[in-house]
Amino acid sequence: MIDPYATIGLRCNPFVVESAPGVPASLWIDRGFSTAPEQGNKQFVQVIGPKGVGKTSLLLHWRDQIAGPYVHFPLGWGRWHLPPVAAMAYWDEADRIPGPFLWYALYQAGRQNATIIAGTHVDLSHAAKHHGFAVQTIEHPPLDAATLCAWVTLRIAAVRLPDTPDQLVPDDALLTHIAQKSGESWRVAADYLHIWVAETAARSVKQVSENDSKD
Amino acid sequence: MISITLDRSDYVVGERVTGNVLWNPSSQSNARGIIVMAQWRTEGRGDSTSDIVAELRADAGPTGFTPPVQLPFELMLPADGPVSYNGKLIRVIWEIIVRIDLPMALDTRHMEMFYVFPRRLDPDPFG
Repeated sequence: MIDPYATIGLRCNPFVVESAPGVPASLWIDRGFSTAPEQGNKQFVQVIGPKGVGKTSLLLHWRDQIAGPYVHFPLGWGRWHLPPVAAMAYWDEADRIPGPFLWYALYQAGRQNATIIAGTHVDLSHAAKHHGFAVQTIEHPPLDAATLCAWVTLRIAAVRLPDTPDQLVPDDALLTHIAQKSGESWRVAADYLHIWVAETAARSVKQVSENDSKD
Repeated sequence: MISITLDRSDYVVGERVTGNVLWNPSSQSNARGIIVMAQWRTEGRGDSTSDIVAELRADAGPTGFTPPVQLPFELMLPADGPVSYNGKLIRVIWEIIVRIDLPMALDTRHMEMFYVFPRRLDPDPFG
């Protein structure tokens, strides 16, 4: 049996989910907010949006620039704890922080003039403003074909087998279609792109098998 | 440098995967052992999972390994799979993993993929 991805010059599908969250710097796509906010500035920066838009990736990208405690609030009992407070602190899924804990942590953070970076599905600006924070809200714009093309090119290059030519180039129509169906979600776009690469690899392996049987 | 040579690239559930490991360390090494494992794992758009189904360990003797080290192996595959699968959203990948157990250092690893197929019944009820 032939590895289907090897037939198109790849080590694996470029759009597999990695076990660790975040995006390596070499695969980062700048969308206008790649530079981390200043620490110790008494500001509350909320990265807001639905699942898959890249909230966690942005928080971790900023944390690579300015270190600070990062905590992810899970669903269920695991969310029942105080978020960490520091000159720069990262609270992921901050909308899951129980109200009293959120208000107390913001009170503490305000006293220390901390910068809080919050990944959230809902607007938390009311609580932050109440504690005197300057609030900045970041929302990811919808994906477009050019952004997807840059991303696809980087991802494919990262898993290309050594000494193999670039055999996999998405056309503009496909990227536009995927961008429209994905909205602002990288995760949905990655699902479609994963399927596209898998189908291309399956066609390629079928072609190789047919050629082998002719020989 | 580690190289894994499998006697075949395709196997059937319940068979033994056989092959040979060749390890030629590039520098002086005091490895404690060489571990050869048969593992399946999933890869795709969901959470991944994996399992090591068989393992073989060769420990270094009192004088250590003498390079180049050749280690033939034979690992039993489970009769109930899973079998290899290449889907649009998920893959099931089988591989032989070789790990050189190094004291006070990150272990060196090498992998080689192989395929596991379901057993064909004889006579085949599906024709």
